[in-house]
Amino acid sequence: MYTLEDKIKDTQNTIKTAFKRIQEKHFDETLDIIDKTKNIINESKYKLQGLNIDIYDYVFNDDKFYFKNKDDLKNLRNELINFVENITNAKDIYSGVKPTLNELTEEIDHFNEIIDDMEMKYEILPTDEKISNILKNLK
Amino acid sequence: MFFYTSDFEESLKQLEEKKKYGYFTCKGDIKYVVGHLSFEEAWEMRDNIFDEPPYRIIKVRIPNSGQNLNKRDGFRLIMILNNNNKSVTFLYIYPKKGKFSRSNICKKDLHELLTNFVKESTQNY
Repeated sequence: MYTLEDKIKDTQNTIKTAFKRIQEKHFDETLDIIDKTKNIINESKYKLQGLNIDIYDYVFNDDKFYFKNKDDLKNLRNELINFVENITNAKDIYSGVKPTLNELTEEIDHFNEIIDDMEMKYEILPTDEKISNILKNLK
Repeated sequence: MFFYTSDFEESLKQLEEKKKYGYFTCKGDIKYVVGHLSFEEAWEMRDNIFDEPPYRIIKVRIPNSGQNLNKRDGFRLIMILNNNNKSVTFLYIYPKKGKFSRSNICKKDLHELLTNFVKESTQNY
């Protein structure tokens, strides 16, 4: 026969077990999300790495490519930055994916450098009167 | 003919002083990449970011043997070439990785480097 004390203990145990199960479930779910996020980040990193190599090796000196694709390249850069920001702000998964995310950030930095250099080469410096004036002093 | 500005000299000196950060091989790494080049070979380097004859500004990717980094992750050497007198002048060098790394140089940086280059060239630096 259950006493009231038994009922209290039984209820306590049920709550404890339920809480433990919820924590475990949440833990498993978080680990699962971290794994999936890592895979997504890695996939993005490898794609961007390939793109960086292709742009730098094959079309860096191609002004037609730059003017045709510059908006898409800049949009992609913004999307990448937003992607990293969103993951950084997701506190429960950020610490689990930080090293992988840093690798992607490095790749974004290379992408950024290439885009900035192309912009400098094809848009900024050719119309920069100051640079021409500085160099005129040598001629 | 290779020359350098005081900006380059200062940037190189600062890197060489930071031995524990793996920048000390900088001078040797530059020699390895551009030291053996003729003017024509340097002129034809693919990384030019400014081209207004007789001048061409080239941003060269240099590996960092001190940190075992490839060209992409190593140093960036900014140099200006003058096709009239066939000279190559080093303007600045910076690392892409490590504590003292920087992402890129901007238009304003370039103005300052070139202003100093012109000033020192006219003084027969």
